[in-house]
Amino acid sequence: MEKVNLKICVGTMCYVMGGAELRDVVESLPQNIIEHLNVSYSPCLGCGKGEETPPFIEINGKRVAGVSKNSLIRIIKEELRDVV
Amino acid sequence: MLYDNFAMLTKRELLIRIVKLLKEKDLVNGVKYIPVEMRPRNKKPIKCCVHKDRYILKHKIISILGFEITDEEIDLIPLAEFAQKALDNKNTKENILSVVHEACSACMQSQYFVTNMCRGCEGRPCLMNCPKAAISFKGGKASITQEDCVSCGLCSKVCPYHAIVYTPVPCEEVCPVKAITKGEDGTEHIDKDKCIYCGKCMQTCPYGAIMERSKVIDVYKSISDPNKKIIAIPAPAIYGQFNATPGQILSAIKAIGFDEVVEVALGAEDTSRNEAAEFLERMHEGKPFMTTSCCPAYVGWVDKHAPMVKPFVSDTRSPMVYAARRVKEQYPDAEVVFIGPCLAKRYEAEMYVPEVDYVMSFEELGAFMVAYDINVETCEEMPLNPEVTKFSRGYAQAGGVRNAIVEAVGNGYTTLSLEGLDKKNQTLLKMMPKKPEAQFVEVMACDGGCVNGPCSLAPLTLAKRQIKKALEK
Repeated sequence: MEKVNLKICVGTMCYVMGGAELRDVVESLPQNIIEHLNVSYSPCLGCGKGEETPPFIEINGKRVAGVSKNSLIRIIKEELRDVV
Repeated sequence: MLYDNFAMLTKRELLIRIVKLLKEKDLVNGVKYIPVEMRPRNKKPIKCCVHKDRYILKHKIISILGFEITDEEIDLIPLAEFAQKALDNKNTKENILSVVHEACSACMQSQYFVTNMCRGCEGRPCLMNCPKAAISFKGGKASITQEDCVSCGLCSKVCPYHAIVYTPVPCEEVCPVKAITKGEDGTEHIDKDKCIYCGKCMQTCPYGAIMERSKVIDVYKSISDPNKKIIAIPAPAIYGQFNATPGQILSAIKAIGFDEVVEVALGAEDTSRNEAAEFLERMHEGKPFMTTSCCPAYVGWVDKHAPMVKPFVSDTRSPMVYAARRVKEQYPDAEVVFIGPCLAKRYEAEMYVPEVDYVMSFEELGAFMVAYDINVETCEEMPLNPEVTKFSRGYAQAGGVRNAIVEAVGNGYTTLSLEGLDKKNQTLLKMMPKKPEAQFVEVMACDGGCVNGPCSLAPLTLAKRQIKKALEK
């Protein structure tokens, strides 16, 4: 199976608006999950101009706004539901 | 930060939008759009309608612009006028904390309350155990006569169905000195004579109804004025606020437009030295104990609520004072901005420290970084001052001051570190003149010390880990 592409915004806007721990969440995922992910960090995903609120992530090209540390885990689980 | 919540994010978004407008030199014209943009018609309102939501935002904006919001007359003045006024003159000294009355939901008086989970059982332990006969049964369900209830909580404890709940007023609940109480209209009022500016109420209110008066406008004006020299002095807790090294964080602060960045930890060197000398002197004089004086909320508590402890508080000044003095000695014309996680520092600086021109919170610093497009993680390393030891940077956490003093005076004394001004610690401290628990007592009003301050940016777990990393180096 192809790996899931996960991009986490670590820009200051997302950091200040509640995304400070997103990187931690990803880094503390168990091995059986992390091996299915292709994680990258970006200083800005180019969002935050429209009505959506930060913090942002991108999972398999889909942008998700207003991510919290708990919803991030949910989102990853949902994406990997067939595998893990 | 006790927990993540959206009220906290609203405040941060407001700060970011205001600093962005400042940077674009469009504050006077643009400020009026903020409430509409943040609470558009097509989104579900938080309170009764978008108009009230926008009205609340207006009040919060006025507070961020640096004005007090308790006066009803502010309703007559448009936001643009406030913005112009803020840009035109330096802010006057007014209340540091105020309640946004429209946002205060006038929570129900805290009480024990029987929910509809009550099954009206035969056992009725609530009825049997109530010491004040405040429980009666109506229609097969328990009910509490509030006039008789003394809030002992026994009924709630004994109910096998957990049907009796305690409904608190969050701000009153966390205030360690009962400075915030309900007025006649049901909304909260802060008693200035009692308040120690610990910031607990502000941190806790689920409506974000308690706002600190900000200095972002003044700081921006100085930063953008090429004729002014402006120097940032960030508190040691700064090292926990970003996913970056201390050197990167300092250079990120500089990138905003400060001419210099001097660590408050440098001032902590002076504090440790003076405090250690003072401690030895007092011990020599036969004094039973001495407490620290660097936490302004604790000092405020002693001044306003525990005069018996006053003679035992050290006369050494806080690291902020010494750091600011060092800066002013070197650059007498410079303006000094203290950047910290602390609300009480605003009070300390305005009342007692003429060397500090403005106090800015970590949240406000974060807003500046967003508005000025600074990514801390990619900033260059700024060389750190070699004079500053890890003990001084350790002031960020509870136990840090104690460690520094022990390092200076040796292990021959008993020490104690108290975190938080809860009831237990307050009683302990008030008893100490008669029954000292230790010879050197460090007191921090926040659990965990400064790193858990009410105006911090990073969650506590992250902040603690980052500080640990920074101290290891």
